[in-house]
Amino acid sequence: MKRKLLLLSLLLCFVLPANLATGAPTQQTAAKPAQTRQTAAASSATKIPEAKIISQLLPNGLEVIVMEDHSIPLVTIELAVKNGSYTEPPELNGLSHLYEHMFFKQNRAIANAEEYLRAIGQMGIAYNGTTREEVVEYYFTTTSPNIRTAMQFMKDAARYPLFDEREFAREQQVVIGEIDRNESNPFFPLQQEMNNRLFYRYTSRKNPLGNRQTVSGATTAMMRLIQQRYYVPNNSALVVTGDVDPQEVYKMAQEFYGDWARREKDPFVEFPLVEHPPLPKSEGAVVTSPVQNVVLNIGWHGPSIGKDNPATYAADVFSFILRQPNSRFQRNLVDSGLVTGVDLSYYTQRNVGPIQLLAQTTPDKAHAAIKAIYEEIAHFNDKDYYTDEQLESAKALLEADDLYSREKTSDYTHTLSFWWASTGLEYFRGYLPRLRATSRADISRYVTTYIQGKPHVGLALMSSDAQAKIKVQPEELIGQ
Amino acid sequence: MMNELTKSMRDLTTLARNLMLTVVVLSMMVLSYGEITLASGQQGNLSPKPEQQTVQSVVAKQAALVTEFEVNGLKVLLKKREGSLTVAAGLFLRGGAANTTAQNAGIEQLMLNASTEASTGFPREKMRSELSRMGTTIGTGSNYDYSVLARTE
Repeated sequence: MKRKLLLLSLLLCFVLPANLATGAPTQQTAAKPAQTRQTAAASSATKIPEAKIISQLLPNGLEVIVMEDHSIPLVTIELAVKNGSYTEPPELNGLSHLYEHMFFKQNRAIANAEEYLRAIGQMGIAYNGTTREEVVEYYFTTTSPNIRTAMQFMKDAARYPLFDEREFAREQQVVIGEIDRNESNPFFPLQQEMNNRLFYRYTSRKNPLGNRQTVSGATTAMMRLIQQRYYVPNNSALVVTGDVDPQEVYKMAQEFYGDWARREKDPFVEFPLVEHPPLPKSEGAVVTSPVQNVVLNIGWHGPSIGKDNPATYAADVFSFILRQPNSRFQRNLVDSGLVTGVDLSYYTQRNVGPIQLLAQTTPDKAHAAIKAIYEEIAHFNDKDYYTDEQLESAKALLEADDLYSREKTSDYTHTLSFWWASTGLEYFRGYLPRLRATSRADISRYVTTYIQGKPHVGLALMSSDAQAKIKVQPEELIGQ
Repeated sequence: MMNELTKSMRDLTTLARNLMLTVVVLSMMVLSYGEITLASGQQGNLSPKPEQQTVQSVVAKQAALVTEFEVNGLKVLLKKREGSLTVAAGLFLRGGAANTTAQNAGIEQLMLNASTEASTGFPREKMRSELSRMGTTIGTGSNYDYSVLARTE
């Protein structure tokens, strides 16, 4: 799942910066649709209504998605585009993100960025953009009387960017600074190593941040290339949430975007996604970085949306079974004192979602922790590995997670964009009922298809001093 | 130090027990709201757009949703949120870093963390299974001037 981002971040929150996995927001306010949450909601006895989402397709292919919430007079207008690193060959790596930085710059209606930002600021409009693997999102959040103005801003930014050369050169440096900041994080090498090994043939497709070479060598012509390929109505969604009337939103959408010319050829037909080849064999490695503890990270290729949807539901339920403090997984690893935290998560993606196990321990316990983790994995499919109660609690927790995430409509907008891009709205609409229907057999199939006995990557992050002392071996990290 | 810690934890447990009473009331009220909203939502296709709200009217409306009372000396602020099906409760304690010295820095966070593991009324096993069953989690936090023990359900 996406909170799936969240999920992963449950552990990542203490080992990785939140923006590493997402390519990092760039503008004023921190857009964190996947922000770490330690709380969930709702009793399993309470029937949780699904979010009331209405959508309509304009004739040019733009999907307009509306969710009403009149509790406070705020609206969020978001443009979601199926762009991001999964569309990036090596030479364009990181340029979806650079494009995102250029979104709130000059356009046909605004002579310069300063004027643009001043106009936005005067109306108290919060805005930001986020680039992920499979979606790029831009939003304006403002008071409901400003909806037309925000809609106009979005139209001008999306359809008529100017890509001023001076602004572009400045923004290249801003993005390189962002790369610098990410690389300054001692945990960055771990994530990079995992991505590079898991998706070894097409590493750029899983790296929204890009690299210095591609970003510094980018040109405005490349921005126009991205615009022509992906910033078209039949590859985008307009997501509007908050204090709005859906009928008025549709009228406005038609007015502002109705004459946006559709792209004749679907960009994903003309530029198909790559097929990430499966790992030929398991491999382990130690990554050294100036850290005090040891972080263990095991990664597998998980299911892809559109190819094995049932496994994606089972993946989410199983992750929530293991996350419960009373689970055998937590007892044997955390309560035993071998690790201070451990999590198994699945990140829902159209093009191979990774499954990752993350654990934190100390150098003196690292060998024992690695052994214990693989012992747990070996038992994942045992009949008594989890109880029926834990299975039902996992579903309740997942539903509560969804319910809780709806509390802040502006944030939920990003969740809707994520689902729209990676899974489509129908998957989202059927998500909770399918979770409820997930059985032990479904989980068993997920574990045997994607985890147990499957080629994987095992990494350990620690200081070079710690490694010199404890000498963790690559074979050990893949359970051999 | 351990005696003080134990005493503090007992005090905290008492306060938390008091708070639980208010949480039960709160959850019933909010869940009722959720049902009403759902029922009305099923009657029509699209909710009518409400009257244009001014900042002042919004502030007044939000303020009217807050009530204040005391339970055994514990100040309780209760805010309803229409349509919400979740309940959040936080026990805020004056203290935080302002209350500690170089010698016992961090002890308040340690105490709060320990208090979420188990209590006299809820042994560890029971607390864990009940929290999972209800979809509830408890978090803690220490700030400069206060600490918080919070739960969401």
